[in-house]
Amino acid sequence: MNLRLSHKIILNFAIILIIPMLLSVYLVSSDLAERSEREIDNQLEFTTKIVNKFFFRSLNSIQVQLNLLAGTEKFRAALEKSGSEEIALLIKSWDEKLNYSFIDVYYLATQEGRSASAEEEGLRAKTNGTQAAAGRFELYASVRKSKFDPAMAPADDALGKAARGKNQSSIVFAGEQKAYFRCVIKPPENLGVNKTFVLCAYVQIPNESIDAIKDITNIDVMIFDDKISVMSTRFDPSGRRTTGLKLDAEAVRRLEKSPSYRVNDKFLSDYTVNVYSKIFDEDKKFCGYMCVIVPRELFAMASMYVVKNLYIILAISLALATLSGYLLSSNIAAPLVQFAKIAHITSEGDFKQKVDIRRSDEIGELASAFNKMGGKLDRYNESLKRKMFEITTLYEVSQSMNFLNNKDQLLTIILTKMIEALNAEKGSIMLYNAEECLISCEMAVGYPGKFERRVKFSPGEGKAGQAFQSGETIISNDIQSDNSFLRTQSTQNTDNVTRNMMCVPMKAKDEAIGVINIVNKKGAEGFNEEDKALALSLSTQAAMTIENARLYELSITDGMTRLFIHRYFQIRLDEELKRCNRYGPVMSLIMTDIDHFKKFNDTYGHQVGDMVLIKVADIIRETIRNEVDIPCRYGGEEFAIIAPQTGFEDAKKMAERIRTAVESAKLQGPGGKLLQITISLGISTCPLNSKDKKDLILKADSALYYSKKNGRNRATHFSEVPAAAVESPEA
Amino acid sequence: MKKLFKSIFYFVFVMFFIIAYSFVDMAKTTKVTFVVSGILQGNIVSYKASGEPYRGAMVGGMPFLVSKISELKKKAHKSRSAFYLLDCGDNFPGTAHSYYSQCRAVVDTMNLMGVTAMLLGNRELDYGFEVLKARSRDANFPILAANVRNKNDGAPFAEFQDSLILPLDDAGFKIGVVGITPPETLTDSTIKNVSELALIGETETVEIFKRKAAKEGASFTVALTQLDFEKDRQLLDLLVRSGIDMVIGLDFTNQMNGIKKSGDTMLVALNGFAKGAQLTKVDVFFDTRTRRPFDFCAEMVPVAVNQIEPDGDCAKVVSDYLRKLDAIMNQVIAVSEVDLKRPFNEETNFGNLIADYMRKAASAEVAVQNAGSFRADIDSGDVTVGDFYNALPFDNDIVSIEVPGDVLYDVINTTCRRERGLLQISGASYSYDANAAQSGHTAEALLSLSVGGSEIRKDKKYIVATNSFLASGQGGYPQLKNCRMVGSFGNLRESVMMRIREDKILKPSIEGRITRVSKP
Repeated sequence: MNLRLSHKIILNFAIILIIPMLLSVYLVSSDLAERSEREIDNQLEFTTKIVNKFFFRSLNSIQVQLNLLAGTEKFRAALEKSGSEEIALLIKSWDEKLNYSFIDVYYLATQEGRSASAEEEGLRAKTNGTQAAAGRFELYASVRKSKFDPAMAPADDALGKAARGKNQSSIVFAGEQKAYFRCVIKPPENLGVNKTFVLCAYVQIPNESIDAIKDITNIDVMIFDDKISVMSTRFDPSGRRTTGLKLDAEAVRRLEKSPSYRVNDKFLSDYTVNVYSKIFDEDKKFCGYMCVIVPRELFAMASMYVVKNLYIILAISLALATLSGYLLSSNIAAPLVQFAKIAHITSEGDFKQKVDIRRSDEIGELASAFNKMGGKLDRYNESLKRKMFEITTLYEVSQSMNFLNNKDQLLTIILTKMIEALNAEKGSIMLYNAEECLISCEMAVGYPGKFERRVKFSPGEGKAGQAFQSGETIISNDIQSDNSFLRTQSTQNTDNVTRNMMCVPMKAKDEAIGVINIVNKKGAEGFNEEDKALALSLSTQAAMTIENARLYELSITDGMTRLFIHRYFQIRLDEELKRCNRYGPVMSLIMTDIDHFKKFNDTYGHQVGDMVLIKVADIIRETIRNEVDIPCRYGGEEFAIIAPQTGFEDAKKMAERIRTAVESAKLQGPGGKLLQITISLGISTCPLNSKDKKDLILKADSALYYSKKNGRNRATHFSEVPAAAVESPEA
Repeated sequence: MKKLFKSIFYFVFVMFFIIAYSFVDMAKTTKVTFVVSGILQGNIVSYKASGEPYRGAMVGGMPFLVSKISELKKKAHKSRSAFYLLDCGDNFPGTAHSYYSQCRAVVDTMNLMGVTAMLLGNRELDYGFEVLKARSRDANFPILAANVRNKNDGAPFAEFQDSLILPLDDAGFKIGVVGITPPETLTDSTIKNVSELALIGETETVEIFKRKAAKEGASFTVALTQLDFEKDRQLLDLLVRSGIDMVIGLDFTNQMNGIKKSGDTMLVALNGFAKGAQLTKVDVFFDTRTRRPFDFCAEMVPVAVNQIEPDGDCAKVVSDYLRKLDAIMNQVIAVSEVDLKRPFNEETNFGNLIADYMRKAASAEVAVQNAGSFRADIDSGDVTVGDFYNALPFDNDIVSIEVPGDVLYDVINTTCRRERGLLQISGASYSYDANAAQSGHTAEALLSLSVGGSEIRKDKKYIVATNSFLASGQGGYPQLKNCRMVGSFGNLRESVMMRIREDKILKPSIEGRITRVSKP
């Protein structure tokens, strides 16, 4: 089971607090249960005793009263002199005092012919002795207010004991609903009568005697004879006392072994504890059974309250434990969870995430240290990234540069890469023109509209000029308030607002060759030192590349005409022929020669001759397809144009276009005289005329020769030259 | 699985609509449960039913009645129904428990029933008006008696209320309940018990109530009465004509099944012999908008001992009273030296004993007591209150009336001729011809009647002590009804017992007061 730390903490707390609490609840409640059981036992025993006492309380008073009555002079006289009827009459008058049901007077009848007096004497002698009175008692007089159950009459030995002065009190039962206190006494000694008399009085025990218990204590009582209930404080639904109920057989069985038997019961809707016990008379003789019925709520309450309170405490503890666990978990586990999360993110390479804990304790310190560490790592990482980026950018730039020989393309790629590397919006490259002593904008990227090379500054003029002049990189992050910033037409355009700017001088061999301007860094920060360093590295690389490009251009270009030199012509013609032969398309070679060039030299001098050469070269350059056709100075006043992907017709048209352009060109000679220049052109096409370089040149030359021969200022394709007219140049 | 989900979904869908519909329906309907109780006649303990429909079963008893009502109340609340317990009265007197607790036992247990309102029945006056007033103050429910007024000033009694307005909901829907005490109360009761009372006419009573109901905004009216729907046509018609919506009365035929309609009026009946063994439950469904009933259903609810657990609290109260009563009942008031035999068609010592005490109590010349008022013998020995209660269970008073000689002769002749329980007599003696009595044809069965040792004088008026039952012309002696009442001497049984307590020893004998002669 995977539990979160916070859950574990809460669980731990709960367990730590709950288990002892549960244990204590269990122990206390079981202890209470035990105690309350004992308490119940004690209470029940006590209650039973009280009920017993209460039940028997009338007996003594009956005895006393009976003794008093039997001791009166009147009664003694009646016993002595009167017969049984007179005695009965006298006893009737006792009713008010005794409230008896029956009173019987017994006398000890003579036994085995012995005289009554002798018997009496003998009995008297033994009165204080231990020997039982031997003899048979007979009823002498009797007063019975209602039907008498003979089973209630005392046995002879009880009468005998009474005759010996030991009063016999007991409880006797008659039928379902009647219980009597039975007192057997011997009238006081000083009667002075001949016979031994014993009085037996029966006083009915009223239900009120046990009702009083119920009224005072709310405890029900039932009195059983040996089989059924004879008295009861309980009433059944029909309003009858619950007498005549059978005694619980289990109770009888259990009472054989123990003094009381307890059982839970329910009567109507009340739950009770019923305690059965035996009733004994003064002689410890069994009379019947008593059942004391106690409402269970009387006992349950005390322990119930304690247990209830314990459960309340348990519930509160559980709540507190959970709360403590929660607090602890939110104090420790929650920060740890946050640490774990941030550490995980950091491990993924994102050092910018911070632990958001602001506390003054150890966790707060840890968080602060962690955040510091994260910050440092982030900075190192940024710096490394920057370096890496710089290296990558430099590599990419140099790679790009290596593959380019076109200057504009070169400048474009340099500028684009720098803008990208420096996260700027636009930029421009200005190169120093030594002839004009100005720095002029050679390339711009990110500006709206078509780029025009018209912005030129003197060194020291404007930000770019300052950078160029000082050789130091200049950063201006608030360019609008910088007075040294020169606003050109383009920078005044609302679409083209300059916010900040970095001007980086390009140096080749310690000499400034131009300036790279990087404008409007994205974001609000502006250019910083790191940008400056990167820009410097890139500009140095760019300067070297531009310088190299310039040197290369110089090496393959004719210094005067700025057309490619003969050697370059040969190399390129080889390449183009190879391409043509391999891939199958066509190419043409146009050879041209200025008509009567010697005449210009001779007439106007070599300077004019050079001008003518330059003019024709310019016209050729302007007339041919830029970046496609390759114009070269073949030698002297001869030029050659390699025209890739050009067939017979197109080559002819191109040649004708050059011719026409030269013919219509106006060149001012010395003295303002306009010089008319014409050229002759010869064309050969591969593979139409030849696939071989030499042969192709030869055939173009033949065609040129044919043009010369046929009136000059014309262009002839070798295919148009009649076979007869073909001459070898040698010829 | 998919199918199971689908069927569960449909089931839930259908159930949702059923439940929603039932709520919509409930919103339109207000259900009110009326439970009608009453005619308890002091029966706070269960008894074996002697009449239909529960013959032989243990029924009634306040603990069971309270429990049953509580069950009905719970059910009503569960079905979002308002619950009212309306009681027809005749509850307080009727048993030893009532008598010896002066009706406290009944009121204390009724206080646990949650009675909404109880009608003042005529029997409530049996133990005197003062007792009734005291019990009214003990009761935690209002006692309605719209037609009962103070005879002296015509004002209503503070102990009773005319009517009750029951608020049913927050929207102001109310039910008005009026209690109309039986009009025969004044004539049927012992005079001294009703001497302070006057009854106003039913028409006026209903008018006053209708005005009050209209003023209070009760849109449904209930009349709580003791009308016998079979016999009391006149008053019933009046109530129906007055536009009372529900009349609660009594059914002695056991035929009504709780409810029937008369015009727009619902007639709700409680079993006239209910004695706590039966309740009537009526559910009335009201349209919430119109506040008028649109449907109802009734049910006779038995209160049987073996069908319900008794209410514990009530059982305790009852038990306490039973113990107290038992103590009273077990009090020995005298010792009888002879067995006291109850009379039927002969003179008995018990009959003589009671008649003598009655004559003494009323200081009358003659006393007559019907044999039917003796219900048990008493054995010799201690005589307890309980013995007397069992022997003389009826709560009649000793009254003295002025009886002309010829009427007295006629009365004695009637008892001899019928020979179905001879009148026990004191201060006089009579002989009759058994053959004439048995033939049933001869008008004259009485052979002789002497008062105070001499032959009766038919022109003389005799002061005769008898019980209030006979004095009201009941028991087959209508001749006595018109005799002038001279005096009333309290409850017969109690009055006799009081004198017996003084005498202590009882030794009545047969003295030849009634002689049966079989003439050839």
